[in-house]
Amino acid sequence: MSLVAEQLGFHSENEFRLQNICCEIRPGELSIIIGPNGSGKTSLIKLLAGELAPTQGRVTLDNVDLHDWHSGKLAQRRAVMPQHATLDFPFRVRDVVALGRSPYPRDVQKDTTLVEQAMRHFDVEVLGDRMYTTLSGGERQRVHLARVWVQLSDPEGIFPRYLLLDEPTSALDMRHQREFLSLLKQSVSGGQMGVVAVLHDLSSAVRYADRLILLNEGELVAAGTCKQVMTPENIQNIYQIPVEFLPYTRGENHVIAVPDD
Amino acid sequence: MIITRIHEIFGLDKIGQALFSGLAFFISATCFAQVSVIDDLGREIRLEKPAQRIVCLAPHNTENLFTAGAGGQIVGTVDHSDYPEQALDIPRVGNYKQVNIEAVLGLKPDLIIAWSSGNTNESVERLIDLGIPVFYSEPHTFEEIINNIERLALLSGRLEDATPRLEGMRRTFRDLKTEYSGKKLLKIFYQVWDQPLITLNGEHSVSHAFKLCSGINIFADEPTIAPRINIEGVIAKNPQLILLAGHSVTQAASWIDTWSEWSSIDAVSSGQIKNIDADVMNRPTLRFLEGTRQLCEIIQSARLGTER
Amino acid sequence: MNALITHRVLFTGLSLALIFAIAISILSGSVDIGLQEALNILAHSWASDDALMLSDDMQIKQAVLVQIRLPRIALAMITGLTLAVSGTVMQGLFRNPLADPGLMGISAGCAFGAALFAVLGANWLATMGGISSVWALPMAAFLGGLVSTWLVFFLGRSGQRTDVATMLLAGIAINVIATAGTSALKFVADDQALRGVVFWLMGNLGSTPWDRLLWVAPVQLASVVAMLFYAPTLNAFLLGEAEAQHLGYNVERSKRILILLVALSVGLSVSLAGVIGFVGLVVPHLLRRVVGADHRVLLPASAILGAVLVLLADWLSRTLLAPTEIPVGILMALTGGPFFIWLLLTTRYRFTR
Repeated sequence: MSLVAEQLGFHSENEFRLQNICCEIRPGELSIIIGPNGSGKTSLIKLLAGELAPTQGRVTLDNVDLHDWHSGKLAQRRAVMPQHATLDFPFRVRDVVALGRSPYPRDVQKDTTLVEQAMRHFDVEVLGDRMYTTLSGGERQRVHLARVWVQLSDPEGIFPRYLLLDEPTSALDMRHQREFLSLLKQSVSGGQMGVVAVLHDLSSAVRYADRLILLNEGELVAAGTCKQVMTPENIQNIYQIPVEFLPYTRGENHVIAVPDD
Repeated sequence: MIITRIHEIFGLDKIGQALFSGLAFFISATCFAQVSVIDDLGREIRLEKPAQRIVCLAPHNTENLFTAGAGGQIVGTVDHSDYPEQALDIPRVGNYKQVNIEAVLGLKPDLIIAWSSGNTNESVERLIDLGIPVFYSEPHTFEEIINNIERLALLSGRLEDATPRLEGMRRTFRDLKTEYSGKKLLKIFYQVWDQPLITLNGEHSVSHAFKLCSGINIFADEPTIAPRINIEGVIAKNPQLILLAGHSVTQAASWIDTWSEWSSIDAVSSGQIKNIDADVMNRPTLRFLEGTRQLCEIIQSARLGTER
Repeated sequence: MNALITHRVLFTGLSLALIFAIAISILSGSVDIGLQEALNILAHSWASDDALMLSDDMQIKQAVLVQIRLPRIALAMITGLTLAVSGTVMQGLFRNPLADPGLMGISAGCAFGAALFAVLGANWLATMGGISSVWALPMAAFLGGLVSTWLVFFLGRSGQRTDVATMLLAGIAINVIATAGTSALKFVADDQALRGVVFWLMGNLGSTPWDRLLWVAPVQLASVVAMLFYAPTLNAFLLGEAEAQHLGYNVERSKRILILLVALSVGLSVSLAGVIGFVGLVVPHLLRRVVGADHRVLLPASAILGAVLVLLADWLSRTLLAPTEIPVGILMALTGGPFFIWLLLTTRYRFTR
């Protein structure tokens, strides 16, 4: 019972963007994809989401190829937040968040409760009646986070759900980043949700991830626990910049880049 | 031109010049046959000799030139010049909206008869700029039609032949006038299209024909020449005669059905719905005069029908 | 709840506007019919078809009201609501505020179909003698619209997917080609053959009888109602096609169904009433400023406002120079164009990225 990539490859116009990727997103785990620009992180998310069709291998959810899933049923099982969510029409924030309820039969009372709850989680309740188009970048990102959150928060669902996030914190300030990642961590701990997120901030990745997936030039370099993946060699080889690992007070490591003298 | 040249040759003094001018004019009007007329836009057209190669830019011009007796002098005309039959053999230079200037020039015309409200003004002005005499023809009333034919006869040197015909036309016109003036006025609806309903206003020559026959166009006062109206407008005006001017008998026949359910209109209840040849009524030519005579008869019979 | 109040005010206002527009349309015309008379006639016509009870004068008025004004009002309303809803759907589907049945080449395709029929088909039909020409021109128009929509759709496809941006561009190209084709036909054909087409292209609400309306309008209404059911899908579409897919919508199927529904309803509308532009463009823009882009509100509101707008335009077209009628398409473009520019200049939200 998990979201699995088997020998996954994708190429467009004779150019390989990803090849030979094997990984598994399990319920109860927060997996974080890291890697330099152009390493194929977004392509991997899109493949896992079924937005791109793999040219090699396949992606399965509960051992069923994503291609064979009914789109409505699939939407109750996994939600996706793209890197750039666009919405250029005036839409009330509350209604944008409520779009997350699309896969479920309509139930006004339940929908309202879940939407309000998600808006509280992501600190956007005060924006409820504002038009989306008037929001700042960070506010918009939080609205979309609330939307995908709502999509997976039906209390009656029994199956494990999966949340796929492409750079979900890119526009968030420090407080909101931390609150959000803690919320993710907390919700996977119930064992009913698996999350995979692309992050650029290695320190956050180390701090919150249960598993890390390190990509470089379209290939999987390493996958596993932080200790296995986040080695100074790996990071220096791939990012081509000297790094230092400073210990946290709580025993975890903190990564900082050191200027090349 | 000619006059000046004669002056030079004879080297006359001022008094003699004045005397000679009168003589020269006399000569030019007869021997040299110089002609000068005013066209329907008020421009003067002066020809040194009657035109022998004429190009017509509207069907009614062709027809009127034939009436004037100058049909053989037409070297070019436009599409739809289909009357009289000989007109069909004349080379075409486009249609009245799109005249091919090069084709016109290729025919080396010495006179062009244009139609100011139909032709594209730019093309005609180009021809004027190129030095070709252009006569604008824009007849609406009977007097104007007859007058037009007379001036065309003059420009083409056919005035003598045409005079008896012109007299005949004037007589027909006078006779119609005396016969129908003072008769009881009849309200007429003239239909040129059915979906949407389209009629003609008081500016159109059809309305002049109505006047001659003591009929009234119920939509004479509308602002546009071919106004779009609706059945309700016709019901409100309640015409005593409906004239269907379709371009074919079958078309007009299909229009009659539309009226049958509106028996509150006098023309419908008394069965006064008649066909009329649209081509005849739309072109300001001799046929229009003939058409008017028939129109007056239709109106008269409708008048008798209503009085009964 | 702020939004709820806005919606109530909006729909109350729109309904009142619709009632007002219907009322002035019923009461205006060359034949004088007062409000009391109109109500009497309607009550009488409703109660029985026993016309003998009415005086001669009232019989005329009844005929005018029932046979002329009411079908005209019904046609104006159905045309307005079809065009406005189709415009809203197109804009939502293409996530582009330029999308409009007119700009997408559907109307131009209809016009070309009709012109082609008038020039080439009329003689052929005369020899066949089967269908009456009253039906043939609208049919030709509808087929023209369907062919142009299919072309736009076909050109917009890449592989398994339909690319909306390409489709929009293809629509503009088809629009240009069809318009040029119609002009070419106007150029080669003689005036008489195309006269009907030219009049009909300018928009004409006045000459559709009940029987034709009763055949076509239900199909139009049904496809509009079907479009209303797609409001949540269209909302999801605003986030992008991939997002709509992630939210569980069958994006490809929805796109195809919606485009077909638009082609069907607009094709039928053009076939009955001719080309009336700007309704599909102006109505959604205006309403989005007031209620936002939520299609669950926007679509029904568009339907009502579209009906009101075409009713008023038709009312103006037949009263301004009465009894002369100004073609309603021309009137709509003349008033809609400047109004649209004003909307553009004062709109707060951005249309595109």
